[in-house]
Amino acid sequence: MAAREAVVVTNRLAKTYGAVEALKGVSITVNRGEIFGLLGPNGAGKSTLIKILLGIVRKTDGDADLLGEPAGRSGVRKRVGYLPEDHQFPQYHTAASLLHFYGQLYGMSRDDRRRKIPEVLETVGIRKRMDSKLRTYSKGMKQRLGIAQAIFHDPDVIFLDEPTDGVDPVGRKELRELFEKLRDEGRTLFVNSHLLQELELFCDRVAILQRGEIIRMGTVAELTRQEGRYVIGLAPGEVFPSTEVEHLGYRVEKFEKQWEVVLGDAGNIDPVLALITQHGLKLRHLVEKKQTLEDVFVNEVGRTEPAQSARSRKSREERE
Amino acid sequence: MNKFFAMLKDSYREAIDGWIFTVMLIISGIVTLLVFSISYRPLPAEQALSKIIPELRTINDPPPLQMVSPERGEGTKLHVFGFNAYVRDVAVTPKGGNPWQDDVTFRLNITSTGQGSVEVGADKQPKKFDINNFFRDPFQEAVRTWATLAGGEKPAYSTDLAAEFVKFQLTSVTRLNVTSVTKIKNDNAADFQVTASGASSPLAWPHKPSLFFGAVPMSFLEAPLGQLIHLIENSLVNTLGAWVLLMAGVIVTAGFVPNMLRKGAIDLLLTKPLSRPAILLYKYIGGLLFVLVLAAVTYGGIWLAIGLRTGVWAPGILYCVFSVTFYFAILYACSTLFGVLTRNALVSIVVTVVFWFLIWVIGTVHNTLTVLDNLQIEGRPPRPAAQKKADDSKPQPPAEAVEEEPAEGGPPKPPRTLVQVFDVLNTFTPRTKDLDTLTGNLVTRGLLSDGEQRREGMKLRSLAWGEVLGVAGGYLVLFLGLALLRFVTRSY
Repeated sequence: MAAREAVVVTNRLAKTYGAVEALKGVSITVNRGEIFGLLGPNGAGKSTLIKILLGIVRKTDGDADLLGEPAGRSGVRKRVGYLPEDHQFPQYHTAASLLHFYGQLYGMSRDDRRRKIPEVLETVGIRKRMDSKLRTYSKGMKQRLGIAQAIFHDPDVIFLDEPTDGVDPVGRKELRELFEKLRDEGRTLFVNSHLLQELELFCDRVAILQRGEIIRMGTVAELTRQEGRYVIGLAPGEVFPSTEVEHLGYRVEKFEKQWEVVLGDAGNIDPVLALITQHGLKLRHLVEKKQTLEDVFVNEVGRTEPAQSARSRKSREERE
Repeated sequence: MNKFFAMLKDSYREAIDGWIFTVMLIISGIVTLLVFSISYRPLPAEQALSKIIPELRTINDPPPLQMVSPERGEGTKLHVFGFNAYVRDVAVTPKGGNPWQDDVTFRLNITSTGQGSVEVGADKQPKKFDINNFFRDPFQEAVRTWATLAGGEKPAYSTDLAAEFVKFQLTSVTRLNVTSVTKIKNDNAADFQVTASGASSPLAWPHKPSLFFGAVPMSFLEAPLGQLIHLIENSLVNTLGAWVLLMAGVIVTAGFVPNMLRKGAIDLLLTKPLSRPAILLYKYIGGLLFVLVLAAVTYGGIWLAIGLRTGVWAPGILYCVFSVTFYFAILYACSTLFGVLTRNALVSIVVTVVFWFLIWVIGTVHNTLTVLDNLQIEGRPPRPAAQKKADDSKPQPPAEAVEEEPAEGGPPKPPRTLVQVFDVLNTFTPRTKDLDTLTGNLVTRGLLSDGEQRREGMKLRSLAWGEVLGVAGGYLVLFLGLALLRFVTRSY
C-alpha cells in the first residue's frame, strides 16, 4: 500500500561535534502521506537530524535514507522541499524573482514557474506583494514565503523547521489546513516545532528527541492516550472510600480536598460512582483528566531533565 | 545549464543591489563621455614632421637581435644611435583631405651628437666626441648596423646605403609613403631631399588633442595619434582605471561567498539539486561576471568613443576586458577561499588586498632588480676591465659588442642574493607585473607599430607567457581547490 511506503528511514544515526554527541543512534521511519512531528527541547538534535537527511550536515555513523536513496544525494533533492529555521533569503530578491531562481535550480520550465508562482503565493497569502523586495517583508510574510518556496516545486517530502514561527493565529490556521491538504495529496511532511499544541492538531505521528535520542515515538493518540484518570470531589466533610475503590483494582491519589482515581487500561468509572452512591456520599465534582501532547512532552523530558521539566510545568501553570 | 545561468543571474542581482556597482557604472559613463569629448586635430606637415623625424635614429625593425634577459629567454634589443635629424624646407601639396594625406617634400639634415661613440676617461666622465673618427660617426654606424640586420657582415658606409636607410626608416617608423630620397650634394655628409605622398595611416601623424570638443586645448600632449590613443587607453586600462576596477571588484564580491554561507541561507541552497562544487564554482563565476560586465561596459564605451571620434577601431582595449578579468580571477579566488574559511567579508577583503599588495611588491622589486642586474645599453661605455682590454687592441670593438656589466658611474648592480631571493619569490607567485605587461601589450594592438612599441620599451622585455599564465592559473586553481575542499567537506 502506497501510504505505508517509507520515505524517511534512519538507522542508528549518529552525529558528533568533537566531544558533543548531537545524535546518539536515532532510528525512525516516516511513511508517505503522513505528517511527522519531531519534538524536543533546544539542542536536542532536531535540526541536526533534518540537516543530515538533507545533506547539509555530514553524519558520523549509522544510516539515513531519503526517498530510497542515501541522504545527501543531490538527485533526490529535486523531490524535497525545506523550510529552515531562521531562514535568510537574499534581500535583493522579490518573492517572484526568488521563486524563479529556486525554480530554475529545481529544473522547472519557465512556463511552469510563471504558472506556479502566483498560485503558490496566493496559497500562502502573499500574492499581492510578490513583486516587492524581500527587505520590505514582515517576519510573518517571510515565513509564508519560506513555506511557498518549500512546496512550489511539488516535492514528495517537505521538511518544515518551525513552520508557523512569526505567523499570526489566523495564518497558523490557514497553514495547518495547507499542511493537511498536502498530506491528503500524498505528500509527506516532517515538522520540527516547539508549538506542541499545534503539532497535536495536525501531526499523525510524533517523536520526542531528547539529548540526541528518541525517547518516545508514536501517533498523537498513542502518546496522549488517556489512562482513565478522574478527579473526584465530595461534599465537605465526606470521606472518599479509597480502600474499597482500590479493591476494585483502581489506584487512588489524594490531592488536598479531592481524589484522583486512575482506572488503568480497561477501567470504567461507573463502579466508582456506584460505590459513592452506595455509601450515600454527595458527588460535587467529577472531571476526566485529559493529557495533552505538551503533558507528554514535559513528563518525558522531565524524566531525563528534571530542572527543565519543572520550569515547563511552572510556565504551563502560569499560562493556565 | 539553466542552473548555471540561474546562479549567474542571482550573483548579478546581488552585485547590482549594492551602490558600488551603480557608482562604478556612473563613473564609467563619465569617463566614456570625457573620452568622447576629446578632439584630435592633425598638425600641419612642418610641425608634424619635426616631431616624428627624430625617431629616425632608432633602428628597431625585424629581424630582432637576440639579447638581454637571461632569466626570461629570448628578447629583443633596441639600438639607439646618437644623431639628430632635422626637417627643413618643407613644401606641401594639399590633396584636400587631412594634413597627413598631403604630398610633401622636405630636406632631411642629419647631425651627430657623439653619444654613440662616447669613451670613458680615467675620471669616469665622458670624453669629447671625436668627429674625425669615421667609424665613430653615429649616423654612419646606424646605417651600417641597419644593413647588417638582414644578415651578413657590416658593410662600408656609402651615400646610397644611407639613402636606402633613410627611406626605410621614414617608411617604417613614420609611416610616410616615401617616394624618393636623394642625397644632396654638399659638404654635409648627411643631407637628403625627401619626397612623400602623405602617410599611410594617421596613427603615426602627430595630432593636437583638446578636451570638451575643442574647448580646452592640450598642446603639451601633441603626439602621433596612435600614441595619444594608447596613452588614454593604457592609463584607463593598465594603471588607475584597472586599479579602481579591481578594487571595486574585490570589495563588492567579497561579500558574495560569506553571504551565501550565512546560517539559514546556505541551507536553502544546499537543499537544491545542485552539487556543492557546482554551487561554489557558479558563485565564483558570478563574481567574475561583476568585473567582466564593468570592464566590458567601461572599455567598450571607451573603444566606441575613440572609434567614433578618430575613426581608429583598434581592438586591443577590448581584449583587455578578458586580461583584467583574469587578473581579478586570481584575486577573487583568494577572496573566495577566505570567504569559505572565515565566512567574513571584511576578512576576505583585507586578506585579498594584502595578497594583492604582496604580489605587486614582489613583481615590482623583481622587475627593478632584473633590469638593474641585466642592464646593457648599446654604445654604453664598457666596464673598466673591458675598457682596458679595448684600449690594448685598437681599433675598438663596435658599440653593440660591449656587453655584460653596466658602466662605472651607471646604476649600481644589486646584490646577487637579493636578486636570487626575489627571482625565487617571483617564480612562485602570480606574475601580476607580467600580466600588466600583457595587458599593456594588448592595448597597443593596432595603435603602435612594432617599432613604436620597442621604442616605448614594450618589447624589450621578453616574457614566457606559458609560465606566467601557468603560475597565475596555478594559484587560481590552488585557491579554488582549497575553497572547494573546505566547502564540500564542511557541515553547515
